[in-house]
Amino acid sequence: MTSPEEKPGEQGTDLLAKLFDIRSFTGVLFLIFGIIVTIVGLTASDADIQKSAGLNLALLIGPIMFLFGAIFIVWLLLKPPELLHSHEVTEEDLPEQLRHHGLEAIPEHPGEPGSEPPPPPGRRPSGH
Amino acid sequence: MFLAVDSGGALSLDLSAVDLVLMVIYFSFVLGIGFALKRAVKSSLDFFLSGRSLPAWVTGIGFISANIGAVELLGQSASGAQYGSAMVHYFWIGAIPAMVFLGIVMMPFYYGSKVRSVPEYLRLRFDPKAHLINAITFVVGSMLIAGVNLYALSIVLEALLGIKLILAIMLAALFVLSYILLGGLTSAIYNEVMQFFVVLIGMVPLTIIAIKETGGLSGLFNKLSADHGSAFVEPWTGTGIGGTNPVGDWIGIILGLAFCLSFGYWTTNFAEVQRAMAAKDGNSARLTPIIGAYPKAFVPLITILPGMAALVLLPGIGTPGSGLEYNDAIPALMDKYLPPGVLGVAVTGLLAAFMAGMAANVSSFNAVFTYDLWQDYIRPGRSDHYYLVVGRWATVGGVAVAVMTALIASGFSNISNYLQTLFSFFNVPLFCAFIIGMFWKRATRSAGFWGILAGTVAAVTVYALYKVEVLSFRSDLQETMWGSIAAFTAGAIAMVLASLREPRKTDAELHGLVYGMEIRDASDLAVRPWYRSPVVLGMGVLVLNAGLYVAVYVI
Repeated sequence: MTSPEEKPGEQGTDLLAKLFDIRSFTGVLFLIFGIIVTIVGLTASDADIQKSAGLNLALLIGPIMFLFGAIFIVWLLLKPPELLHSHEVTEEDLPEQLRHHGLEAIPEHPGEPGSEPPPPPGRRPSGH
Repeated sequence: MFLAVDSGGALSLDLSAVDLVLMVIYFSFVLGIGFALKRAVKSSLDFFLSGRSLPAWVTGIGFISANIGAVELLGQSASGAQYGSAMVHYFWIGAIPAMVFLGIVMMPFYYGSKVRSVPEYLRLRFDPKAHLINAITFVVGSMLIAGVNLYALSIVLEALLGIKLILAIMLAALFVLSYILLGGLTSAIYNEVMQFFVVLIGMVPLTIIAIKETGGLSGLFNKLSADHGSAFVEPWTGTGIGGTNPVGDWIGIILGLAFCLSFGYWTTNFAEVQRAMAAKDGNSARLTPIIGAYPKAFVPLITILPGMAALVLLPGIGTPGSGLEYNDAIPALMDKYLPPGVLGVAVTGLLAAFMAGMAANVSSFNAVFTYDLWQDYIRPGRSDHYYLVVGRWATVGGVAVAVMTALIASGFSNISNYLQTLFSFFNVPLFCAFIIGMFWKRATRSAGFWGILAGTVAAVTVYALYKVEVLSFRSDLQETMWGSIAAFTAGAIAMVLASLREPRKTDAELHGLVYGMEIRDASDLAVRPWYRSPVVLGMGVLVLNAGLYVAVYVI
């Protein structure tokens, strides 16, 4: 929704990135938990049921977890996540009182030398 | 300390293969989240504050979940067994009004001013002295408490897997370290969300059992009332002055517990507030604690209630010779009642809660260490990437200290109680500095420092007088309530006195930080539907709370 124009070649990674949402993780986890615990419940012995006050708890909790997981997945499909994009820090991200002093060197990413404009002459923010 | 497993083996959980499978699946998801989020961390803001990008429901659940650690789950159920239903005050009149207050009133100052941590607010509002006190005590406190959480986690691991304690500590520490290093705060919050649902579903069966086996809620309450007196099941009974309710008197509960202690903890603890600062806009930040308050209202059902039921279901718990301490209530109930599969979910939830508790300490520790100590005082003016690297190393260092604390805690089992007590001395004076700083523009630069100092001295003094039996209280709980009233009063007086002898700060210095000058973004000024309105939702949860109090009496 925020990035309608996707660069060619990035579509694959974007699709992958879209899967990385907390709802997909939680949803899939609960689907798996739900299936396993439901199977345990279906095969529960009398001793197990006796242990938990005469309730077949696994058969109660398993389907609930499955349903829960399904809700997350449906939610995810109905409202796909926005891409988690990393964030360049600018002075706008700081409190007003801290702008313009001490943090002049903010947008600097070693490893991407080409993306950075040359420093103004005579004022290279070095750490020393 | 938390479980009796290391002392005689009275309690060990009997896990079947399917339970272990569930655990392994869960923890591979935890690591998976870390790897998936690795690509999203490019700047220090991504690492420490999730790039201020998360939706309110995620930060809201993270907010509440960061607090459901060892102390909460085992400690509150133990208190339920020991003190009875009056412990609900810690939730319904303590935590929840504080969370609503944070969301409605205080959050615009935190989020709107764009401070990156709670100590940073103090630095801008007051001066570096107040800032340093808070930053240093927070850094030390969160590392030590991370160690206590780690120790609790390792005892459970030791009991489950039969591995040596030191190995369990290392294993657990490595786990937390790796997913925080990979994904930063987002990783911690995502895991808190996942953990929250697992804990919830893992603990609910215990509540069901507790109710069914004791003859229904009214059956349980009647029996406890007959055995322990009606104050045990009615939260306000015996809270008059000179009454007998062990939790205390109503003045202490309302002023001490609700206003000072709970407001102090929930509104100034960076491990909590950080979750709200990670929200994507001003309104989401304000909604964060309020969304968290809804599930929080029901947490007593999975902690205090099973604790109280344990008195009936596990006869003799908490008495010498039974082999069970109050802290064992939940694990022992699990062992006795939960069948395979369900037990696996519950134990996974328990482990996940300890781990999330530790991760919350570590992820807030590294932010304060990097921004508030390293950047402000040691190496200012470097590139953002530099601070990201420092943050990662701080994470490693913090976990290392936590490991050492855990090893020390394994030798001195009471150490965690002392630690909690020690750091509780700072809580209330801090709140005093914040609330007065936010609402009284006249409070000056040094007022923060003197307020914190005077308040802390007062809290320590009351505690010491109680210990040497000059002052007497019904219980340790009542002492903390009155101690915090004293701390708040002393702190407030000191702040007023300090402010009177200094010139006030200029409006430019205070912009965004004090009442009347808060900065609100578009999301916070826009007309919102009721379900996005902090005020409507906040009032809703307070009404819910009142209803729950009534419900306890009706039963």
